[in-house]
Amino acid sequence: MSRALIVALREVRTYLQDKADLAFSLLLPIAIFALMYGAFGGESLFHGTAHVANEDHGGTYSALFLERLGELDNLDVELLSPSEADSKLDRSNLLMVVYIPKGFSDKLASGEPAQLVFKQRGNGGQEGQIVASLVRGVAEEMNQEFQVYSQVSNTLVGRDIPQESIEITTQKFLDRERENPIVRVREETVGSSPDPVNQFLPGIVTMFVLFAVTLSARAIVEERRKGTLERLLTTRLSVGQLFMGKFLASVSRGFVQTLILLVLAYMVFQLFTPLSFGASLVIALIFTAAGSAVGLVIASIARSEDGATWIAVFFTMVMVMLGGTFVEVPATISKVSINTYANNAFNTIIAQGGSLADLGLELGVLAGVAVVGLVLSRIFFRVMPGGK
Amino acid sequence: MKSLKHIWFYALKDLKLFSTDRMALLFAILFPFLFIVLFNFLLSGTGSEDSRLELHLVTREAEGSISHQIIRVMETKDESQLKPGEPKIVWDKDYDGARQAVEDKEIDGFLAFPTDFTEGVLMGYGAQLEVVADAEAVNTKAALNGLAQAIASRVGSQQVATNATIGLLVEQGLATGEMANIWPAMQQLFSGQAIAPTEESLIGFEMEKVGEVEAENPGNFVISGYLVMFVFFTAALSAERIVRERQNHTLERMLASSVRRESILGGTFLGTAVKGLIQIAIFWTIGILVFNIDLGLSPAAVILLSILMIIMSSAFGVMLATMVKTERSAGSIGVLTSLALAPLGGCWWPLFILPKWMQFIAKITPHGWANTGFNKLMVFGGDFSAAVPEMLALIGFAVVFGIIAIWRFRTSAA
Amino acid sequence: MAEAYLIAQELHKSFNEHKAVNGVSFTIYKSEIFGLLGPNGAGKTTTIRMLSTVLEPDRGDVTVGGHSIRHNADAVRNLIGVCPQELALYEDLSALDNMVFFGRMAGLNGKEARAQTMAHLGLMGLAERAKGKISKFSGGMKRRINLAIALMGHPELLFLDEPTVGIDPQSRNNIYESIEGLRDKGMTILYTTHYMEEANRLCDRVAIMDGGRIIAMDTPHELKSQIGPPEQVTLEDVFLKLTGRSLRD
Repeated sequence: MSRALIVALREVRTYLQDKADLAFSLLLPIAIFALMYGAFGGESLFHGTAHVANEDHGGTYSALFLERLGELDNLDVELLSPSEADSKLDRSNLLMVVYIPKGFSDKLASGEPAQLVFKQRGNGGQEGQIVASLVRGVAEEMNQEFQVYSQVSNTLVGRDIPQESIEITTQKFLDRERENPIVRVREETVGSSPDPVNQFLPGIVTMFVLFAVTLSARAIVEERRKGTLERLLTTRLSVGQLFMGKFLASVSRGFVQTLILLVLAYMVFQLFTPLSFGASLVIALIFTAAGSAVGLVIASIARSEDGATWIAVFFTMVMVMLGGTFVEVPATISKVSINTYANNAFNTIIAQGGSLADLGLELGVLAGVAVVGLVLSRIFFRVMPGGK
Repeated sequence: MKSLKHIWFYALKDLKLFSTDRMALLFAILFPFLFIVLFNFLLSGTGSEDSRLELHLVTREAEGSISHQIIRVMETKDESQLKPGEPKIVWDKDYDGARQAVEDKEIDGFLAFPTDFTEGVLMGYGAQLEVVADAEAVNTKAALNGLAQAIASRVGSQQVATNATIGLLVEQGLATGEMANIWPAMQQLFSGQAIAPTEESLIGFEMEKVGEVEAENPGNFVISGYLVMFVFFTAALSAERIVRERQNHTLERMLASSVRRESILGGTFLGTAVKGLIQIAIFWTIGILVFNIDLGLSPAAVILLSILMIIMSSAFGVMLATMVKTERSAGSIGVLTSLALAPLGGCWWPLFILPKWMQFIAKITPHGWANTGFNKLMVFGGDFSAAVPEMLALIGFAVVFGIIAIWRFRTSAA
Repeated sequence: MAEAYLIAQELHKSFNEHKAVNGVSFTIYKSEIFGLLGPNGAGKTTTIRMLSTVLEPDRGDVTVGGHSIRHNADAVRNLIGVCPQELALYEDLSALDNMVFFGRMAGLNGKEARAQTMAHLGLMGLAERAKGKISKFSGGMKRRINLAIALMGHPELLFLDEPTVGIDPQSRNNIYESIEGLRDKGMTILYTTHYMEEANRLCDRVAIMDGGRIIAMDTPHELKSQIGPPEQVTLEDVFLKLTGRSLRD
């Protein structure tokens, strides 16, 4: 066993001394996490696009309407020609378009009613319905202003108050209302926004650790081809010890990588208590064992270094995609990914304040994968092509 | 002329090596389709969410208040009478019950009128509508806010009319010295009466339904996403081949036989680019024939974008080769970079379903620009000009990678 | 008087502080097999790399067939063929594909490349294995392919850097016969080796390098005569006497 440990320690030393490997295995996950954390910016807000076909070119009120739409923070305005808009609706590229018909401004200027046309597919889609309500809101606001003038004028009929005075005074009160509305809106959020640290940290850590341990299969295949594995057998190391050494080497490497990332996470985000940090390390150990076992299976079945790389990449991609690192995946499908169990375990410990006792299923699955992987790879593992 | 020949022969040799490597062929061409099939299935229905918005209103005031009047007018009594896109308004009778329903995720949110709404409005000291929503119910929150703003705007404009009228009367009274004559009128206004009735809205809305919402063919964004990923992947791994040439001394052999080093780089670039062309030809052909994808209004733009993607990826592969020393490093870095950039750049899931901040991050990656361009052309019906910014961005990336490659190549020891 | 084909004058090359080649000068005559011997780290491979234009000398020049490597390297490359010490082959391609590729890179057209490939493979006794993948070849076969590639383009000057390392006697003998045949046809050859019996058998003249310098240069017979009766002394004895027995690296 001690010889196996020597093999393992050599791998860890090689990893720590290889600056490029170290940099990539640590800096890349940190950089990606930092990017996501920095851009996340707290609560998600709705942001939509109002697609508008303006046939009322040069119209004062259509311009005012578009200007007011553009002032909304959560709305972009995209102007289209009517033919473009029709074409996109026809092809279902867009679900809702607002048309400002020709003569819109002239009608409003002469006090006649004018209409905005919403052309849509179905209800206009989720975004379309909200955009429609925002558009209606802006149109309603303009409407209110017309009506206010009209109301005040009609109320003051016969009082010899000049129209100009009515307009000026009304405008003054409108401006005041806009600055200091009598009815305000207050938001209250129930439940918490997803915490970016808890949401992404486990997934990114498990993603890069799995990359590393499965890609290490390549190195074993290379050693088999070059004959250095075979050479180790001449040092009285048994095949079993050699195998365990390679396994422990991969686990150690993956564990050291995870340890460094978790320590950094602790230093920056103060995520852990000593107990939860210890529990996280246990999860990390079992997860890297599962990943390393898979890496050994890959090393056992791959015939060339490139073959080992492709298989490792394929496996890792599937696990990361279905593990919900970036986007939620339906539960039935995510169950096939070992990353799901590792991410859930980390979440339970870090975000929910759970303990190892709550992780029976997760740790059981990961340990099971490690055991099955080890057994399979031991059956198929060959020190030299065609050898024992 | 000689250099061009060398570049061509070198590229041919690389392609021959590629064609003998079954795993590489499998990975570059077959594997992507496994993911395409899986994600076609997972993402089917994306973009077809069209259920009518349901907005809940609650008032904490007693019967007879302004809020009751407002809700009564807005409440949906017969859903079948609603026009397309009109939200269904539900009147929840109990504030605490509604709040609990949000916490239990039975509803996404509601809009509440406070107990002092009518008083605040009539007395002039103001009132506050409350939008209570689940943290993740972004759409409902926006819709409720919109509704709240509309109510606030209507109430506010009534106040403006009243206040403006009063203000004008006072001004007239003061100017003419006949306050006594106008005082009865003002009293009526203060009590909320005597303001002229609201006329019919000048701005109306007409709804025209042109069809039903059709689910987007997921192939339109899934295939382009995996095309971007695997073209880049294959190109990044070409760096390994160059390093292998250095390590197994075939590079030295070539240099001794009058082949210039620039020709070797050029040959690598060309070989990688041709591999990319083969990939895109297969992807698009199978995409059209099997997955029924639509190349949009400008197939030429799609092809051009694909070619620019290939050029950028090949430049990256060559750049990487000039930066690494061992085959192992080339392989690891190529794989890691490709696998990290792919999800960030919207290769695994379409960018347009991700939050804005993730779409922002994607812009740091060439993948993000490529996928945005493909989505504009194939999902959102853009024409050629719509994808020009993305094309320029890819050219920019290619130029940067190329400059670094040439600079590193020139400054590295023989 | 034999014609001088390669003239190396005062070649110097340093890597950081280490002087790998320190004022090396020699001449190789047409149709001569010239041996370059020396312990590990003596500077032989660096010298060959400079002669084959892969490395630029810090000082000094080499003319090959009247062309200077400093001023006309391209012309020099058209005259030379290099068989490096390491197996510079594409393992995943066939022997035929390897040779045609290098032939085309050497400026041959397709037809010429194929013709020369088959001829050289025949010379090496590998014509039947032309379409075999290199990765399936034995070590000896790979060495022979490695040499055959150097012959593509019919070079006038051949650099052979330890071409028989690690191969069986049959393969080695085949290579010797091929080299002698090439010399007889007029090819000039620079040959480096650690096997003294090879140098003794093949080389018309031998230069012994040590510490970046040439410390002796003459025919094997004359070198042996310097330390004893040539029939009793081996070239290895000469080598060890001149370079000593201590390890160099």
